[in-house]
Amino acid sequence: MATINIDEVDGPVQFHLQTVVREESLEEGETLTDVAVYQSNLYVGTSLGNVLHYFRFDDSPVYILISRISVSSNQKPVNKILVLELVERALILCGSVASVYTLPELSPCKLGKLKDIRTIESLSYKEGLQNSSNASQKAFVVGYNKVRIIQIGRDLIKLVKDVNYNDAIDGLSCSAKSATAYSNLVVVSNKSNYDLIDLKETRMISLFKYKSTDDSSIAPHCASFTSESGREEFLLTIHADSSTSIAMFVNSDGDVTRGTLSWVDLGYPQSIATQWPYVFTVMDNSELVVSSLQSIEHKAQKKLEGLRLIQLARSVECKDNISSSFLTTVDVSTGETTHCELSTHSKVLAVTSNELLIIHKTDQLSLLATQFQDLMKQAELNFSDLESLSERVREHSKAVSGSSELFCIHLLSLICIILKDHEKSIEILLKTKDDTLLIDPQFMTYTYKAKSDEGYKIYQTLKEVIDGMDLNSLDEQIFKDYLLQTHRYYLALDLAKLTESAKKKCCFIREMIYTVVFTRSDEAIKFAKGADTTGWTQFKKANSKIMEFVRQGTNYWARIEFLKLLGNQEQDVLVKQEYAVEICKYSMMVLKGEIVDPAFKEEDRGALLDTFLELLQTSFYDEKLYAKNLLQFLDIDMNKGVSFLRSQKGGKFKATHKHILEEISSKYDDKKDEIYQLKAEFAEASLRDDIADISNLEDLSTLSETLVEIVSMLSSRSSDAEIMNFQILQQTYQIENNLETLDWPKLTWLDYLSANMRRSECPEYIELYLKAAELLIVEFHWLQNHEEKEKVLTLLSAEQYEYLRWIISGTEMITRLLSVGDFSNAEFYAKYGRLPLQSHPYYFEDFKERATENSNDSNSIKAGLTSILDHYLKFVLDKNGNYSIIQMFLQRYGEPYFDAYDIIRRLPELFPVSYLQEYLQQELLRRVVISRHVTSTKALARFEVKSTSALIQSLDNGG
Amino acid sequence: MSSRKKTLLKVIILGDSGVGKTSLMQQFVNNKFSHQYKATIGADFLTKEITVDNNKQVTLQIWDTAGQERFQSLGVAFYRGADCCVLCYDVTNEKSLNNLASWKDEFLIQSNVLNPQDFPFIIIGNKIDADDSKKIPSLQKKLNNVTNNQLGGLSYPVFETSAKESINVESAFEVIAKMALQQEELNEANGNDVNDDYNDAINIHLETDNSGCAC
Ligand SMILES: Nc1nc2c(ncn2[C@@H]2O[C@H](COP(=O)(O)OP(=O)(O)OP(=O)(O)O)[C@@H](O)[C@H]2O)c(=O)[nH]1
Ligand SMILES: [Mg+2]
Repeated sequence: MATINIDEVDGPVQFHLQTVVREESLEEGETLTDVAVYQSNLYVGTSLGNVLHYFRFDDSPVYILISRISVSSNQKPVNKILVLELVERALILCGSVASVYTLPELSPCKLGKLKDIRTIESLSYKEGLQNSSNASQKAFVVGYNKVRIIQIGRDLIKLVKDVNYNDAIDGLSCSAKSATAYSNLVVVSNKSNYDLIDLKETRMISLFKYKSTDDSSIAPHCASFTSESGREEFLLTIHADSSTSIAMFVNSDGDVTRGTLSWVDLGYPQSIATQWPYVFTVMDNSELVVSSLQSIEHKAQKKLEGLRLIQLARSVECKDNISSSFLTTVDVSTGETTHCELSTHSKVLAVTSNELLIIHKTDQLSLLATQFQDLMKQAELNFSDLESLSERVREHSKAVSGSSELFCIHLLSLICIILKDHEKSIEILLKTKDDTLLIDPQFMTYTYKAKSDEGYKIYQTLKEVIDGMDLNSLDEQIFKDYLLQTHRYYLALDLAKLTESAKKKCCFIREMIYTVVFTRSDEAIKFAKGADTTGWTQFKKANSKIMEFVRQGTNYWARIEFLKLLGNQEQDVLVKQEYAVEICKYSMMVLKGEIVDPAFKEEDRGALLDTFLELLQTSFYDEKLYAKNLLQFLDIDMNKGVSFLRSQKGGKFKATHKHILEEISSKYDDKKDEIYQLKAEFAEASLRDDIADISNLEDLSTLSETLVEIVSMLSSRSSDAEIMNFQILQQTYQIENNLETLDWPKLTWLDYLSANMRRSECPEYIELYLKAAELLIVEFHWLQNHEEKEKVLTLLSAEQYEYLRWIISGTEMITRLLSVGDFSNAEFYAKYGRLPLQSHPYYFEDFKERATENSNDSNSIKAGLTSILDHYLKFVLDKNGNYSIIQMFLQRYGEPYFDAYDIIRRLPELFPVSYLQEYLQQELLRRVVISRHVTSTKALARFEVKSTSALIQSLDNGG
Repeated sequence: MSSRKKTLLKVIILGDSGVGKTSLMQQFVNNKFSHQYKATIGADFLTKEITVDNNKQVTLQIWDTAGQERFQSLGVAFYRGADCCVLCYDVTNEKSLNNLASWKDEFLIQSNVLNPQDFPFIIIGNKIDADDSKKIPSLQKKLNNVTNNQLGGLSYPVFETSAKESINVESAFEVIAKMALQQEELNEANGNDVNDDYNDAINIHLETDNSGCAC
């Protein structure tokens, strides 16, 4: 392998000699002579009359020898292998005899032989002729004294034309002009001169001599090329003297086209080949000289022994070892390498005795990559060189595709990163093709020594450079911005259309962002709740890794918030609870200051507390865990805890809440009122649930405890103002509700309170009082449950609770009720032996009727009512009250509890009968119609004495 | 013919090695002069656009050939299609003056021009900056002798120049351009295109044998 470097104004050019085949099976003294290419076949002639047939399989980087054909019976050298692709034949010149063979396998066609031949050349034909031609192809043969045109079909050879040309040595066809299918012009040479022959017109134009001596070892060399103008030109070598030679350039008109190229002190070319804009020559002294056809200057030379150049009619294609080597990737974790194949092609070959080499322009990719490696090896980075290199890489990347493009893009991005060119770096890193990022995010993470997953393959050459780089020399901001922009790119895509690999990459990006970009909790949280909201739900695979990372660090706040995000999307209740437990645990520690997150500020406490509470409410299923965390919370923030508890009154875990309240009520003395209230509220809530569930009051299980809570709370209220207001209300009741006013029924004490509650100065107190009364009535009067009696009595020992105490004790109820002016309830009690609820009860609306379900036996009723009547009568008589009171009482209870006799007996002498008229009329009616009882008669007799005539009159009429 | 062809004028500079052919061309085209002598090998050309007769734009393609004898066989290739030939000698080198005729003859033989008598030649005596002591003694007489006896007595324009001091170089090439243009126009009028393929081709013997092939 050899390289030849050329400096051109627009960048370095390199030619590379690479072995195509090396033949070890040659016989002694056998050397390679000529080469021809047909499709994937390579035919190599030898000096002993053999043709080696090589083939390159699609999946193979190398040519494999598939057969070895002897084309000469007397071991004459194979001087020329001419491929005639139009007819799939090859004309092989062995010594001075040419024969036809089939392509591609080279079996002989028995078409006779062409003898006395110097060389054979195909006659250039117009591209596209294949299609129209009837399977024949023309060639021209340079014989010793003539040039002839022959036509070769698949099965015959025809001579088309013979032109005399003495001492012919070599020839070369000019390319076909547009007017003709085949070229009519050939450049030929004889023992001293170059000439141009027009085969059609049979004319010759003499060009010039190529030597001025008779030295027969000096052979003419003619090579053609197509110049920048698109026109074909010929390069003809001329021997000037033993040390110097020149080349002339002519076109097919025979006109000189360029100045002469000279080889001073290099002798004469032994072989020559062109590849625009260069000509390669191997000189007498084994120098391989490369000259520019544009500037007519030598560009490079290199001594390479034993080399002979061969110009091919068609390019030979093979693997480009150097460029391919740059595409070798290595697995970052296993170190395993993967090779890639770039191919190259050229019409310029070189042969040694047993080796065939291709001379090809080194792929720009290799040059750029090599230059990059060299620049990176320098002690001091040369920024301007790197910058101009980056421009060339960019240009080249646009000109190539596939694996070359990919490599260039990677190289370019790396250069930009090294140059700290923020904008360009990002632009390249985000380049896409077919909706896919060209550069894997792992390339960046490897470059920034952040992380790379198993299985990521990086270009070996770039890896070596990266490995040698100091991280501190890179701009971290590029990396961060890259990650964020890539993240944005992925999140903007339609999720449904993303490939698995794209999803994986996005997950990787997310992971990196949380580990590299946002290193503070507040930033990370902001990102997670902002730009990455969908990330947490759509690119979940990264979540566990993000958590793993954050769990290892001290960003506790972020840890808490991330767990919350995970919890929110978790369906499995147990997992959700696990998250909640972890969140609560760390929140607690952060709030208590046991662990410190530098980003967590005092003003963030509120939010964290709220998070805690939110989770308590939504994410706990295990009551014990719930209780434990709630208690911890209360420990930290009682106020919030208590309001939380209050908000949970209707929710689950009531038992726990009550239990907790119990526990904390002893612990937090300063919060007593609040806690009592809360406890009461909880008890109330349970009671309401209880009530909703039952159909029988006897089934209530929570009444007693609620009663205790409410009473406790009531009793704990010791505000003087409230008590005073309440007492004023009591007095007002007695005044407003006295017997002097005749409106009936009288308001009960409880309804009075209820009616005046809103207007009063102490509505809450009254409400509590009413609730207590309601519960007491149900418990003690309706259900006759005296379990908590003592406790409740103790709690209600204060003066203002007298009425309630009466309810509890249940003795002398009528007297007591009458004493406070609660006439309605006194009358009710007389009738039913229990109190009714207030008109609009708090809890037992649906059970109101229970109060009147069973009444007392009539004797008890009568006894009770009698005492009430006495009380009224006493009022009428002592206080000069209105007789109507009695009249109305009798209307209510006269019948069936009293008979006229009783009544009359009880009434004072002076009682105006008119007030009794209605009662007596009814009474009388009843007696006359239903039973003419003696007693009635007596009573009537007695009544007659006292009654007025009007009354008698009316009785008469009635009877 | 296209106007592009019309204005491209091919000029050949001939003369012995070292008379200053390359120097003259370099001075005229690039305004450069080098004391170092580097023999021209083969030939090379430079082009320059100039205005002739006040209004005519032409491109001069000036071919600088090798004076050394070993390259003279190449002449034919360069001479073909020339519109003007510059015969150069060195005013300090008598032999170079004496060789002018053979350069002219060589040119006429090789270039195959149609009317040799009318073909425009111009004579340049270079290096007049040189010390008088070095100059050819009684140069004018010897020059007249050469033109009258060897160059067929035709009155070709003669210029004395110095490539080194840039004396007369510009004016010599102006005249060269005019003469070349005239020649070009003449060829045009005669319907002879110098670029016509094979105006110097020879017929070669043809052997026809179309009866298959078994040679
Ligand atoms: N003093 C002086 N020296 C000159 C002048 N012109 C050329 N020379 C020198 O003469 C030498 C030869 O000049 P060239 O221009 O190379 O001669 P040439 O005619 O091209 O020679 P060949 O290429 O060998 O045919 C160089 O050293 C020049 O410096 C001139 O006008 N005055
Ligand atoms: Mg010269």
